[in-house]
Amino acid sequence: MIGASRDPKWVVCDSDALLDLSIALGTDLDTLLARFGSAFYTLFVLVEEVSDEISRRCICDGGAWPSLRTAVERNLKNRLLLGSPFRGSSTDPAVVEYRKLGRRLNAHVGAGEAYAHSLAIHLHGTVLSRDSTAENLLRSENLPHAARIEPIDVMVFAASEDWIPTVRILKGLKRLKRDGRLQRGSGILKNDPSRALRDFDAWIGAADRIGSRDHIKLTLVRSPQRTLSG
Amino acid sequence: MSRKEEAPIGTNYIENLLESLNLTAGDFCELLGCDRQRLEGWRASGSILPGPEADLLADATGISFEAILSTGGRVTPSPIWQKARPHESDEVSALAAAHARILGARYIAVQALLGSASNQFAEIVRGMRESSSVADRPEDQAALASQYFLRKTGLGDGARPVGEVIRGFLRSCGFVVLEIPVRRAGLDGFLTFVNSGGIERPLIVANSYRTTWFRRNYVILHEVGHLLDADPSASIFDRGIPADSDSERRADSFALRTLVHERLLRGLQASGLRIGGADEHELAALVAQTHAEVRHIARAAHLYGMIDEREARNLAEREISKEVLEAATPHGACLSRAAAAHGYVREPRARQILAREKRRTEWPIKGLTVPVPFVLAVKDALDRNRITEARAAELLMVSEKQLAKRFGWQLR
Repeated sequence: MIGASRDPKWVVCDSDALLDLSIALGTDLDTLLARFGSAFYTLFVLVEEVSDEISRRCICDGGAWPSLRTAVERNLKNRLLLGSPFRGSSTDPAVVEYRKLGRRLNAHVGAGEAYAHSLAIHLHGTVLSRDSTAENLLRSENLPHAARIEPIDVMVFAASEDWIPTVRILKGLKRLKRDGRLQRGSGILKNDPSRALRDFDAWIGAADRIGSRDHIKLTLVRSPQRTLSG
Repeated sequence: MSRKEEAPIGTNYIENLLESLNLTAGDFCELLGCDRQRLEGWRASGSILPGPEADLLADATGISFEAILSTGGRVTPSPIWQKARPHESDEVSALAAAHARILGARYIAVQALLGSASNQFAEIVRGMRESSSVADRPEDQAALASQYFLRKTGLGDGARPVGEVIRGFLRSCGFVVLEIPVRRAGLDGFLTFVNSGGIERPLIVANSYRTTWFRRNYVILHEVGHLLDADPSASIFDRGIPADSDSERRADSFALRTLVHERLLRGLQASGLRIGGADEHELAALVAQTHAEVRHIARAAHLYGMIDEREARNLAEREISKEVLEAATPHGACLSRAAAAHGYVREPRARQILAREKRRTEWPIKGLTVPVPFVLAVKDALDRNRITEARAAELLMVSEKQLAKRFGWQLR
């Protein structure tokens, strides 16, 4: 992949973020990954530590994890999700550096998060993660970390590109909220009272009544997620 | 690049590693807590282990993963590994030592994050070794080392018992002291070393399976005594192994003279407690005030010339009922109901996590019991924002959900 005619844009996924996408989008996740690859040459990567974490949480946590594992296996097979390109020779300096940094970060954050950030740094890519605590902690420890996007960003983008109908995404957000994976954020909107979009719950709750301002709703759901989770 | 296209690293280091460590595939899986399918995958592809497994392997064997790869898996096992293997046909000791090393390495890593890992142990060990000549009898070496240890640490001042404070003291000096259950009754404990930031720290493990707190006081000091050996790289304290070597005699003598030191015993005698001819209540009081088993009190009293050999033999055979001992000391309660004993564990945070079920690991290695101080250190690191919940869960080898459930920690 590296050295192909077009430079790919790498997004290294963390397990919780993938779970969010899987819960919210179901099989639309495949569409999303395919569209990102074909339209923008944005490739989603899964490091082995994250795929191990998914397997482990299938056993320990149950819930939606088994269906995520099925989705991950399917997408790895279909090449919509890629394994880490840094899995070659142990003497390859890039691999050595990647593992070294991963271990350093792993002293503070979980293995999946640590190795995802390490790979993203080495690929000049982005981490898809909902764990802003880890990012803040790495920053406070003066450790390097990659740029981060959240699952909600990906969903908003997919809606804005018309890859997935907004109504389906809003329904997915409702499912996330039901699972306790979305945070209330109405307070964040106080600065913009004129738009009267204060109540986060109301917007998520209104997903069955889709109007012309659907995309605004999505954007407003996105804002509290980014702000509050920090 | 998909996983199927990966190039093997050339040499099958896992095969060689299994051979070097004399491990079967099943042992290897138990060691790292992985399933056979994964191991077969690594073996077939020859691919390098993922980061967490590589770290576990390095912690368990004491050999860095880079060294394992650079030698193609043909490694020289660590001294504790070599010592643990020949004595056991069922591999309990070797795996227990490896798992204890993992816990020790993690504990010291958390302490390093908290900035509480002292290097004072090096000075103490050097002083102990320099306090006597190697030409002296092992017992004499132990006596001089014990005198130095008690004087240097201040533990010999005031005729106070040592058992209650020895763990905290050793930990504050940078020793790693773990009391974990290893399901083998004959194994009392062992000494090995763990590397932290380039410093080799002594890791002392006392087996808490079917042993009393009083017994473990002696075991811990016995392993400290092994630091006097010419090659202190590893020792195993197993009741099945003959203890007549110089090394064992020295360690035994050191533990005895330090745990039941002469000043303490004479002080107790001066306070009116009888040693020779003591009744059950007096014996319980002696145990309560020395933090040592009766047989060690008897041996020490004979060693200091306070009772004759026959009396010491009689005393060593005497038994104290649980009820009498529990009435005499809060530590006596550890014989039957440690978690419920008022005063046995003073720190309220520690009391909350005393139950073994709360400290049992789930993943990747199932069924280990993590020591209380380790759990508390992880909690401190979490509170001080040095680690995330995911890392805390990894360190304690449980899921994040279990972390919140078991310890009642308010996760962010």
